[in-house]
Amino acid sequence: MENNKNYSPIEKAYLRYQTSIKRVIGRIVGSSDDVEDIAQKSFLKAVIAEKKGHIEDPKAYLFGAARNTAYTEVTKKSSQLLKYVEDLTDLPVITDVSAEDRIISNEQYALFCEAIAELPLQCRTVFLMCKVYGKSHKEVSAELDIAVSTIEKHVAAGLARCMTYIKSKNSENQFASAQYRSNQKRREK
Amino acid sequence: MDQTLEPCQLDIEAAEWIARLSGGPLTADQKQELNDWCNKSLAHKEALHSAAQLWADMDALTSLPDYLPAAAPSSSVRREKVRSFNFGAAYLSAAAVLIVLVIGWSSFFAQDTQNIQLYETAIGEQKTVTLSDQSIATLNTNSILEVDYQAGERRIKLIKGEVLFDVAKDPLKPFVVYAGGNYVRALGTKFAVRFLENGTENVEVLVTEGTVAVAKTDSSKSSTQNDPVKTILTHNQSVITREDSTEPSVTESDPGEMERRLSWATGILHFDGESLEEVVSEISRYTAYSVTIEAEDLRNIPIGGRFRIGETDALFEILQEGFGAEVVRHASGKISIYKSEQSGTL
Repeated sequence: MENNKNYSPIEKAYLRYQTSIKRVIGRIVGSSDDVEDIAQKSFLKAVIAEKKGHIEDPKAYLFGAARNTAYTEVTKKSSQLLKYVEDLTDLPVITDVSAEDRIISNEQYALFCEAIAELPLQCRTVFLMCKVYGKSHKEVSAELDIAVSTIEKHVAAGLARCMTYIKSKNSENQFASAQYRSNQKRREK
Repeated sequence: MDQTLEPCQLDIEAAEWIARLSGGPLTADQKQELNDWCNKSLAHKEALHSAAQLWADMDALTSLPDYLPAAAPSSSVRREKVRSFNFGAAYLSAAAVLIVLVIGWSSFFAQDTQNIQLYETAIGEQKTVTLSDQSIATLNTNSILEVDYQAGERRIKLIKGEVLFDVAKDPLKPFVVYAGGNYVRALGTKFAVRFLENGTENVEVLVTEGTVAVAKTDSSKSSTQNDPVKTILTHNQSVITREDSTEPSVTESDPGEMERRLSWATGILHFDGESLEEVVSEISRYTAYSVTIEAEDLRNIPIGGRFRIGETDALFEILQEGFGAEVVRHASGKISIYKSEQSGTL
């Protein structure tokens, strides 16, 4: 540790925790190819931030930066997909927000989880591996030893079922939210 | 619950296209095919768009496995069969977490208030009350709140526990919460007040909207009405005041962190890498049983996830399945967490 004297706090923290930082990134991005790259990117971000001002908790900052970079990387793919579909369908888009700005409420999050929990086991496993663990169809196919075309089928079936589940829950909740809104209105008076 | 909802043909086809797109780039033929499919009707376009939107929104779920056991075994085991077994276990525990994450809708029910009203929750109970001025108070577990609306002041006394206030605007009547030796003064805003330990004067105030002033009531000294030291808090700031310190320090949080810390008001505890020790002390607030960690090396393991309040069993299950812990319930109701004998042998 003594010969670390010339390192900045961020650099010291990175040297000490890089293995766990990479593990955290690996869990988010799923496939191992991008881990090193994302670790480097987030380390650079932290070093730049450190030059601008003192960082209270270098360890927490590094882990935070690593997670953020990894999430951005994961969401990039589906953002591109969404953009492609938006261009194709040419429907009026209500808001034009980037992936990082899309905020999912606790309620929505729980609704997603419920929807996934309702899926048949095999379908749920595949869906979780693709969506939650960010693995590619090919990787999932190799790990579960089923054909890539089957993976695609499970993902499609899972997504369709989730759409249906969420639609039905939303119409159920319309009554409740209407009540909530009238409550809010009353309070604003 | 039992009725299985079958998706309509349009949604099935839309989802198939999104699944294909998520697998990799389309061939020129496929692109043409998708284009033709889209142009069949407006409903086709809308179905495709909402499938893509949901697919993108579900990215939020990637935060889930953050602190769950790694999908790949970290130990240097080379046996292929063991590998696939571990994968299964990791996904199972992910699924276990998913099932737990069911929201408890907080119910809004009005209650008429006259003079002094007392509101109380038992251990593990939560309650939302609408006060006579349409302000809303959400009581967390094991809390007592006294509401005393007077001509010039909406006076609230927190006797123990934690309460989140969503204050209705009324410039003529300030909303003042007294807790321990402190008071929090607000006009129209949203903030929470909690005792760090019941029975002490150590209080934390969190503000999510608007501005509040926090100060000591200082009843021991002469009440000359002269301004006591006030701490001004605005949104996303919090402060802890302790009986033994005069300098309260203000902490700035990002909105996500604030929302997480108040997620209890929606019936959910949200952890983001806190140590097992902190998590146990937090969930202990919601149960009458005492929970102790008997294994030193488990104390500091980070825990992430969202747990429905009252569903502490789910946490214990995950600890057993994924972290090599053994949870023992004693006849007295006491719960102990040990390190499992067989951990690491897989």
